[in-house]
Amino acid sequence: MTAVAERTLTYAEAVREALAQAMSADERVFLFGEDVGVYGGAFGVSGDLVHRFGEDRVRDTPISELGIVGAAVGAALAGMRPVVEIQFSDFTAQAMDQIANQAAKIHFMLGGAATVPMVLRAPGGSGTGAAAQHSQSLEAWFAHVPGLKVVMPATPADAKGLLLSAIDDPNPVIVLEHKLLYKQSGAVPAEAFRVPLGETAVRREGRDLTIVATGVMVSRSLEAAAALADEGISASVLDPRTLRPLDAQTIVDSVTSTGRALLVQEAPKTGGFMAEVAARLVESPAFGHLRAPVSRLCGLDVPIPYAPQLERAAVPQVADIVAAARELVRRW
Amino acid sequence: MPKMSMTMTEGVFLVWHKAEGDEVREGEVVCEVATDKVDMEVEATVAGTLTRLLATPEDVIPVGEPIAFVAAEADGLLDGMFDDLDDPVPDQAPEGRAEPPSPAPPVPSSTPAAVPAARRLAVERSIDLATVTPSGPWDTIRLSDLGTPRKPGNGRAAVARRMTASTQIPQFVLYRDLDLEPATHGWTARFVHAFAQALRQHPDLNATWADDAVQHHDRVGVALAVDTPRGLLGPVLTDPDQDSLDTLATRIADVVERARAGRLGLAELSAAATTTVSNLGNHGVTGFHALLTPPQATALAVGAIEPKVVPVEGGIGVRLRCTVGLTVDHRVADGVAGARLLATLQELI
Repeated sequence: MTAVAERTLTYAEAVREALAQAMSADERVFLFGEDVGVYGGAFGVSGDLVHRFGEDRVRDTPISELGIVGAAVGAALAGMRPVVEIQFSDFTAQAMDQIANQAAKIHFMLGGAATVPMVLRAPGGSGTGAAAQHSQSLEAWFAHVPGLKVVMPATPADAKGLLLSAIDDPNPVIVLEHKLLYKQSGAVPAEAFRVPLGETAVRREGRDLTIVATGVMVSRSLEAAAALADEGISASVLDPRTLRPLDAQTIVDSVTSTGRALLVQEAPKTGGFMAEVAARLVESPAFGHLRAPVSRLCGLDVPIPYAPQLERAAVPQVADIVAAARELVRRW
Repeated sequence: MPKMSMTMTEGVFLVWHKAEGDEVREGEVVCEVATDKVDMEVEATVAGTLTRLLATPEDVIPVGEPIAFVAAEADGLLDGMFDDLDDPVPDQAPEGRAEPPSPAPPVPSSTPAAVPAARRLAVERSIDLATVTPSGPWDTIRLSDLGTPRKPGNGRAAVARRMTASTQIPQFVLYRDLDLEPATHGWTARFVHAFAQALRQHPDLNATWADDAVQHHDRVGVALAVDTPRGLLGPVLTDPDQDSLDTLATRIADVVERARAGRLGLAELSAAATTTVSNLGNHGVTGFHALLTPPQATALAVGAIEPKVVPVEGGIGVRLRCTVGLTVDHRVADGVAGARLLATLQELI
């Protein structure tokens, strides 16, 4: 068991393993999206699944996001467990009516008589030179819609465990993966384990400030925390993992203890998810323990540029997190 | 001697943390002084050299009198230090009108800007934020501006000073078993209420020995002994007999809760008290002798309230009883006066 648990997979392999285990365990589960079949997925996530499970369960679709999600909503209503892949999360804009107006609302509007157990996986984020229409971080769109659950796995193990929980869930769950994380490796349990939705992970414990980060910013924050430790600054790093429903309590507890919060997201600052976290903190008992203003470090309020230097400059990097944390602790 | 609260007029000098000739930095703790109930650290308001220390331990020094001299090159050393804190700064901003967005110059405000954690700590340690020099951005008081937490922090020094002074007072104790009727209000409220009423009927005991004479007081101030994580505190209930029992019970519950949470105002602790009520009955103590808190002339010690087998008319019965101890400053009154006070207490309760 120990030997198996220490097995290392990439984030993409972990997602694929979760899909395979879910499809093996439950014949209602099927994969649905553009190029998920023979091509193996735009980022190679579905890989050989079409050969293992056949074209009925790993289904290539036409290039119509609205049609894909609409068909998945229908399949879910009819008792299936569809897992939709959208090649870039930016393209969910095409499918937003089915996501926000259908999938999210049906259970409520039918008085609980029907459920939409659909999972929508889509990679977000910048860093691959894919430019403004293929690099956005759109989690706040989905987190703003009651009826949707929103998950952002930051490690290979969470990519597997959260996806399996999302597939189990009777509600539509949006799983926002990250393009830069697909090739990152980490220990992943071999069994079909679940990471419960709605539990913030404490990735590192520290005394001087709490860094809350999502997606690719989690590993950057951990790198920053290690650098800060060399300067004598001790940082906690928290990864909410599920944006909705959010486990705010763990964040509140940490900030109550450290008195300082640095909230890091790749998405632009205005209207971003970390604004929600900031508001939760100042509305909570942590307020009386704050020794500094709650501080956000976010992507710039610009479309992601194509030029690599500008692309890097548009979102927080490790050095930016170190500088912001240092400033927060030194000034306050 | 800095003014550390609205009501402070003088302070007792406790100890120097610096010696003559030492360099001090702005915000550095240089000494400790006591208001009548709380010990406070005094921080340097400027950087410089302590050229002369005037105060010595136990000196009672009026607010505004020098305790030491600092040689510094800074300008405006006394700027604002003794501004009258009693006059609230009128709030000029009409309601509902937004402040200008520009950060500078800072908008004058009656409350100092402070991070929430500093506000919380200031309340816990009874520090007036108006006396703290801000070092944070936007002239905001940071947590570190309040200095390092005081290690003992259990109020032993304050209790030690008061009780040592108490031993200088010739005091006697009278014990009496009170016969009680079961009641809906809490016993603390009933005892405070009845005892304040009794003192009002015996003004000779609502008094202080000072300048070789008995000084009488118009108001009855009952300090309620409260056990808190920070040590024994005695928030003062002024004229509690003027409240209805309902009101007083609510007032006491609030004061006790805030005392335990460290959220009492300095004014509540330093209001004039003419007596103290302590209750150890909940801890199973049947009766005890409380020491007077100078300059109060009485203290009431309430023991356990329990059903007791007692003689009643025509046989033996069970009655609710409580042994109280009344401590009296013998300079102020004699035993019989105390006995009459207890008789009145029995009637009232």
